[in-house]
Amino acid sequence: MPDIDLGHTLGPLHHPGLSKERIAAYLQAAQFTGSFFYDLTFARSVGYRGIIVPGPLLAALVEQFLRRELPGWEMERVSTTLRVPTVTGDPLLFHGAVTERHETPRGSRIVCDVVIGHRDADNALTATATLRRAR
Amino acid sequence: MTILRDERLRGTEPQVRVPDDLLGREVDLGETTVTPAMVDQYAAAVGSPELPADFGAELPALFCLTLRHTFEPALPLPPGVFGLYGGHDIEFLGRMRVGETYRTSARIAEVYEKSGRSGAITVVVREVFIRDGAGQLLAHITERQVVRPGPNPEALES
Repeated sequence: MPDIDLGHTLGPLHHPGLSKERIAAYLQAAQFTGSFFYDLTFARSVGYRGIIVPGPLLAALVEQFLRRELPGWEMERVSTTLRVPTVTGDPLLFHGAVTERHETPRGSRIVCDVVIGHRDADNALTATATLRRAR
Repeated sequence: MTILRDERLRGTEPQVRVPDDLLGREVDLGETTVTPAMVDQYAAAVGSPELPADFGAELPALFCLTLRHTFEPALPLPPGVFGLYGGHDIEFLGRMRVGETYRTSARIAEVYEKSGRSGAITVVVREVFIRDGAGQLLAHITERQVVRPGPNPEALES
């Protein structure tokens, strides 16, 4: 397993965007409600371009991204802020960096900043995650 | 209840009123048993078909958000405004597993109003606690619901 140093970059990962079928799957898993997430007519009637991607689903994609980029590291805490709504089919760009590294008697701990961006350069989401790797 | 407000909003009516008996009171939101079907749906949503859905398999940390079915405890919102997920801080104290049953409770911790680019927004901060069958806390979530007028408020009144 490669060592992870301060400044280690994460990504970039280009994601084609989320389909309405994937959003529907999340809504089913979470028994989630909200017309923004499945009703295109409603979403447009209140001024959105399309069906909105639920924030928790975008947050789950951050974890997927970190598992891919940092295998063997386990999430300990995460802070996430949704910036600009993402709609179905919006291509996404994941990237980030390791901003801190700490050694403790129980193992290593790193802090990462992660951003999900839209093609128009607006950020959909920013997150800071703390991950640990046991000795 | 008095809502903390941005100075620039002085003289305007708050968007949201919080009943006094709701602020700070922890509310039991019931139990959820994680089924293989839920995990399959989650795997399809995040694009991770290899996610194990066998009983006892460890779940991704963010799976805990699927136990938040909606913004509860709910605040009554006036016509013309709506709430969207603004983000969260989560501390993971243990891992959830397929087949296990979890209890969720939550409380409204704070409500504040500030002026944003598109006018006044209200932030409702909830603390959410997810515990396993033995009562051990597995996830402590502080989530922010952003309440704002709709781009087309008339549509929300219907």
